[in-house]
Amino acid sequence: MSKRHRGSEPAGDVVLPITPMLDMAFQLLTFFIFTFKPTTMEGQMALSLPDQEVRADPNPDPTAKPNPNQVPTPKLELLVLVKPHALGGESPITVEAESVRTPIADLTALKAHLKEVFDRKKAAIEVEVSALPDGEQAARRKELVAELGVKVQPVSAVKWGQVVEVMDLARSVGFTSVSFAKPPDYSL
Amino acid sequence: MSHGGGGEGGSAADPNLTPLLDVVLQLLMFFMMCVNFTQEQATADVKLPSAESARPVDPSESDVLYVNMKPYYERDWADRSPEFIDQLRRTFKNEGDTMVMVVGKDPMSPIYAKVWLDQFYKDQKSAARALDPGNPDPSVKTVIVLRASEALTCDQVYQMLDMAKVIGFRELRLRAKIQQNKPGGGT
Repeated sequence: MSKRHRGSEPAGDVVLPITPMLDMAFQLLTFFIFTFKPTTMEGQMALSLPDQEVRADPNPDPTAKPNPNQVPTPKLELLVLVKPHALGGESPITVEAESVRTPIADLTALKAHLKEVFDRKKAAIEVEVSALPDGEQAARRKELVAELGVKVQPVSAVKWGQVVEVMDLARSVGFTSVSFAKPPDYSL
Repeated sequence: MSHGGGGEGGSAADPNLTPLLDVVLQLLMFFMMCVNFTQEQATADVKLPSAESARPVDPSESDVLYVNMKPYYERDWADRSPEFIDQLRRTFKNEGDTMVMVVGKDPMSPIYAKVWLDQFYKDQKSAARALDPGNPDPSVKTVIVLRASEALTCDQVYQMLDMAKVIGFRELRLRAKIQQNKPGGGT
């Protein structure tokens, strides 16, 4: 009963014990600070793996619908052969395009070479596209650029990081169809 | 000499803790929000290669299978139980062997990974068939997201990609660290 009379007494200051709460907050804060690992920004790229042995269908079905995910077969395919320095010597990279082989010394030179080829082909595409009506130009341009392919073929000993670097370089120049080919000395 | 009131009766110190509490809780919220839950399938200890042309990941993409690959080195697993290390030794004979990791599974050798992936594909196919009974050959929509360590050799990666293709997967994505303004270098 006595408790009921407390309400009529003059209200005293309500003291909230915030010390335990602060303790907990600091404990949690310390935990999150120690376990905090800022993740690196991850991105992704679509990768096609042209392998005739796998793709070729011995009994093609003439009624089969085309697969929308299938990468179109490029008309101009630059083959970028990559070797480690120990095997490749002064020119570890070779670019083969339309039966012409060009030895390349490093990635800077490779970028310049790929850019030169891409720009030349792009100019030819622009000439072809300009003859079309305005409404069809963009779609045709995209189609023709997608036909310019780069196939990176490293020897087995090359590290994956270096292969991605070469593929990245080809994409940064403008090639959209970049693939990774079976290493010539593949034995696994 | 006065000693700054030291001799006086000590009054109760009443610091204003509210701003402190505010800051602490703000920091707490920040760190809690930064805990990365989206990458739960991707093991953080795979050192990815860097690429300028890598595009940010679309978070709405759900039907994906993360395949993590890295070379096996026993020292990387030193903090695990002796039984687990023994199991790894039985699976991977040599340092540098390809290690394939999928969420919920112990690290696999490429041969075992092929068996597992094949079964996974068959299960996906059955599920697609159950959803679309009228279609005798429904396509498997699962996209393989490959997180391969830059330290692997390209034949190790090719082996995995080739396996996925032969099994029937048609869409492959390659994960890389997004790098801005990467300088050119030698091979």
